[in-house]
Amino acid sequence: MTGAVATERKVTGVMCEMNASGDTKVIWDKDSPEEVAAARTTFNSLKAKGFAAFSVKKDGEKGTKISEFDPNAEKIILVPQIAGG
Amino acid sequence: MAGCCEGTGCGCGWSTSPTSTAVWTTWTVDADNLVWENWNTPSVTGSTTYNGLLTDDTIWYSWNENSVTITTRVQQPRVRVPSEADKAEWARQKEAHRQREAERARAEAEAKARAEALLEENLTDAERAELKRERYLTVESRTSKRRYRIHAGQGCHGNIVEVDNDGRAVASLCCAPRGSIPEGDYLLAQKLHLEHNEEEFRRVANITPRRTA
Repeated sequence: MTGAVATERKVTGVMCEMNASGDTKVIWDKDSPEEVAAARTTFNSLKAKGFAAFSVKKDGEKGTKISEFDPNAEKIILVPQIAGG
Repeated sequence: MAGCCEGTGCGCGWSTSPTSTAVWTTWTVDADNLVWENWNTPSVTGSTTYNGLLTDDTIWYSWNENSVTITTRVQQPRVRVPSEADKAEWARQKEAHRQREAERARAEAEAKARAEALLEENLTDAERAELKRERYLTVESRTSKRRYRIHAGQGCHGNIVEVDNDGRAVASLCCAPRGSIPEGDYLLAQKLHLEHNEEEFRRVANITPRRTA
């Protein structure tokens, strides 16, 4: 999902999953339990696959590594599991 | 066979004077001892006659009276001439391949652009300028305060260098996200890990010292 659906919709969080197509974004409204639940499900699914999650500010300000889904986060970036070369 | 000449004028002892219809079984011996292959001009009666002397390589194929012409079968080379339907199918396959390649290139370019946009969104102005100018990002761990340079344009393996306060290389690190993700994505991933997850990143990375202490 990308972009706002309706003008009155309050977009508060975006989750970016890094993948071969660049990234896939999931957007949720913190006031919508359904959207929060869907975003949490996606988050937990990717974490189970070994993805690392980082919560960052939308303006690129340094954030923090997180292990639980934070519905109040501005932006969450999910990185595939790392491996040494 | 009729009689035996007891060696007179021949080498095998068989006569050449058949007197029965079994003329084809008459054998003579010529100077080359070609018993099998040497047929005489018939001097016999019967249902079978022969035209002339048949030598070795013609005997099998030469038939008298109702002679049969044996034609040599020439083995044609196995060359398959493509039909118009073949050519049309090849053209169709070539076009389908061209379209697939074009789509793949388009998807790859789009992925690269999306990844670069995501990276740009998560850099400060100074970091963007450094990346554009130097083709690397300098990041600092929030915990240990170690500094690293993440190089762009070198692939995702071995593109990280730990540097000291003077900017001299201390060690190389090789560690990147699994899978095939565009450059912008793995640069951002390495930056986030080194800044917020350095301990685990160094535990996983292959670290090579660059100079002695």
